Amino acid sequence: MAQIDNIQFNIRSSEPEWLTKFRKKSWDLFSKQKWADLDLEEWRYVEPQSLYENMKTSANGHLRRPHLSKNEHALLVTHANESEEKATFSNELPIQVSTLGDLNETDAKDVLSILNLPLTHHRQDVFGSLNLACFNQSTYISIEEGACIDAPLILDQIVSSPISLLVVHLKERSNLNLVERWSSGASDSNNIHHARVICLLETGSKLSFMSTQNVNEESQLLSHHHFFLHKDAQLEATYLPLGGALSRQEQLVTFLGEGAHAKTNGLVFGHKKQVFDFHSVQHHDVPRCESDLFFRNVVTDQSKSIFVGNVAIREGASGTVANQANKNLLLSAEAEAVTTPKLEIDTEDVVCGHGATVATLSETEIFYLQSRGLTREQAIKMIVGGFFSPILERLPAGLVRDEVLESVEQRIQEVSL
Amino acid sequence: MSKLKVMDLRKDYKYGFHDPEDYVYKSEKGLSEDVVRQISAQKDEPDWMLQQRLRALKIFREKPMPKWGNQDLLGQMDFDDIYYYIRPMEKQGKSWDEVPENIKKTFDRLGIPEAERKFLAGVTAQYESEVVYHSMREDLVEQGVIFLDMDSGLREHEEMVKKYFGSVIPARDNKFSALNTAVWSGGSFIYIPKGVNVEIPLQAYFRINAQNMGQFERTLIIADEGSSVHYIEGCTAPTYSSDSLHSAVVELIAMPTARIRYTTIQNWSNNVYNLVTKRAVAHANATVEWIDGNLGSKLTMKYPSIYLMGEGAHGEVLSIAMAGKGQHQDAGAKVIHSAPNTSSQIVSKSISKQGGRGTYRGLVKVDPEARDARVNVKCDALIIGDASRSDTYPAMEINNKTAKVEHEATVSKVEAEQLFYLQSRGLTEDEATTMIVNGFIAPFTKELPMEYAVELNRLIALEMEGSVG
Repeated sequence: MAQIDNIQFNIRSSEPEWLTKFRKKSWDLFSKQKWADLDLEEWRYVEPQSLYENMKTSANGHLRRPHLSKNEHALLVTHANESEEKATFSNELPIQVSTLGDLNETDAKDVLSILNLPLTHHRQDVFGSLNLACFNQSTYISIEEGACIDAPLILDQIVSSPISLLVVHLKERSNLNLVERWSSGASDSNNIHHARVICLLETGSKLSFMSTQNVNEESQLLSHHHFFLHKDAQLEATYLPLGGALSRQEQLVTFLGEGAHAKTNGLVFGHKKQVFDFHSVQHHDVPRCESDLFFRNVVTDQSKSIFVGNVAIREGASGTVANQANKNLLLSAEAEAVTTPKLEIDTEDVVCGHGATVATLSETEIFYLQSRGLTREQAIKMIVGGFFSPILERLPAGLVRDEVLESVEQRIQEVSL
Repeated sequence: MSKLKVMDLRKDYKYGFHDPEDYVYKSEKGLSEDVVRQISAQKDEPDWMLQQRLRALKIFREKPMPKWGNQDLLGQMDFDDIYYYIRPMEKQGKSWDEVPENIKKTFDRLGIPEAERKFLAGVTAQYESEVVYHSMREDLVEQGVIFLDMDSGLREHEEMVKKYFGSVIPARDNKFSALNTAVWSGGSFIYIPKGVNVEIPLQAYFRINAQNMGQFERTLIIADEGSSVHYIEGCTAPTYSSDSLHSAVVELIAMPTARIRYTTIQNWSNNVYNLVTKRAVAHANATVEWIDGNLGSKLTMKYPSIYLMGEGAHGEVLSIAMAGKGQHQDAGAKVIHSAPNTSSQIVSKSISKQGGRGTYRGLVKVDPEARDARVNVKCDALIIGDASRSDTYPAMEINNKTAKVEHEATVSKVEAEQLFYLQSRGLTEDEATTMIVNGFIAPFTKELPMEYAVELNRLIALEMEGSVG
């Protein structure tokens, strides 16, 4: 048992040797890392020290294992303590859902190779290493070659399990619609969570990924998502953080093969003292890939939204098309919006642009709507709904879109203006 | 285009010559308290300035190097391998005849006295650490305009210098402002009295001649109520194999309704580190404009900034950067809106070619008290050649809902179609590219006085030669 700063790193006796080894390796990396090594720019708007203190006190938790079930619309994954029995869902679908500890040797190898994919353009920070060493909830999802799962796969996650790791493997030409939903557990003593997601999209595969959360007001949710795209793979990622005191999300997209395409949408409607801190890197290393980031943020009360996007196009990534747009609407005097759309371009043959705006509501528009019989509040809510619509229109039709529409509508109604 | 041509390009840097070193005083290499005391003693300064220098030296030593920016090039800097003070002559010249022959020859080759006769209201020429020549038109002197080198400014207007020196950029601001405050020498001190409009530009010319030289000029411009001034600086240095350092601090204060335009055309040789802190304060209804051209240097890190402190103040930054082989132009702009009804505009154009790297790094901040601020930022980058690199890091922190902020950026290469069209009209590929580049930076060029615009276009043509293919 190793111990640093009172964090206990338990070697889980129930886990296979390869996993224990991997945890040890990550622990060694973590224990060598220092606070001073944190990228100051990345942590410019959110103070990491107190998060880390919170994290330390909750790094240990019961091991939890995923359970797969099914209803008429979707496949559902929930997690229960590991002491409970292994899932017995008879699985006629070409999908596997399991905890890392339960994997057979072939799958274990597969997971290790995914976990060891290099973090291009980004150093793993202390939170990331801590996650790999101490995760107490792990989920491995793999879709077989050529398989297409029609029904969305919904992961219901609760923040009371402190550290989670999700590994998704889409084999060649497979197709998955994945929804990650965060909520607060019933008895919440723990309010901080670090979630790490690593997705490998093999040649020609297609992933629609949505991350949404509606955790309680005290919660702090940190997440780190890394997507690797092989040739012609397609990713459509959607971020819809609603609750929590702090929601910090890092997204990395690494293109490994030509012709891949990544589209990321995001929508924030912050109120009270909420902070939304979103960081993204689209890393283009190979030719002819496309990336597209599109965020619309609205903040009111004393809330704050931060958007930092980085499109990095390395030498040799010719024919890249990359776009980035972030628009912000400020509804109150004390709300704050930060937007930093970055570009790092190493090659000549690219089409690349970005735009950002920050503004408030137009009084003329409000006046017009009021003259048609709406109250001021109704008018503002209608304009906010209209502001979000370009994002909503980009979402693929189906259950995910319906759910987003409903959440956004509900959010607009519940925010008092 | 042959490789050979590309390799030879830097030989065309026409300011790369140097004169034999012949100095009245040259400090020992490296930085120490002793060197700082010697600089102060050579200048016969008041004690408060010496104390300020010593405090700044301490701050410089405490502060770490920046952890951002080009770490490779910053890591290569050796502060102990630099001469911090070189005094080229005993007494400043009032006419070119008084300037020593070799120095005069240098400035003759740079075309300075000629330019002065033609279209300048006043000229300062700085050679190494000291201003060697200085003159101003009589009528301006009569109107009470003060245009001096900083050392004379301190001697003749001590109270004003004491009040404003370091008030915009304190030593503690960053490592290089601390260094400058410790070892500053030369630079300009300008005061424009109430209501005086200086219609033709004042100019300063900075020249580094010695190897491993560090030039640390310090400029302070105060434009009193309702006045206006346009200040232009140009910079060159010889090409040596070892590196020189240029680390200036420039402070501008625009009183209510005053107007300051500060134009820089920096064409340092490719062995100069150009790490400069430039900042302006604009009071009510004042206007400050930074016109910033970066052609030379090995590494430039320069983000002219404007603090809009009074209602209705306006700030503009217009910059171009051209990064060629082995160069990193890390330039940008910062505007902080701290008062109602303020507006700002940033236009940045960068060209990266032959493996050069151009970076735009900017900050726009709107404070809660800055009601109805208007911000417009536009960054365009042109990339020529596959090994070249262009970065854009714009940060916008908006803390007032009445603000209207727009940011736009594009990165592109020279369009094949445009090239084809121009070539079909009989231009060579080189000429066509040069023409497109000149068009790309036209919004910058047209803000320069005519003589400078012509010179700039010529310089760009020279730089662009052999860049294609």
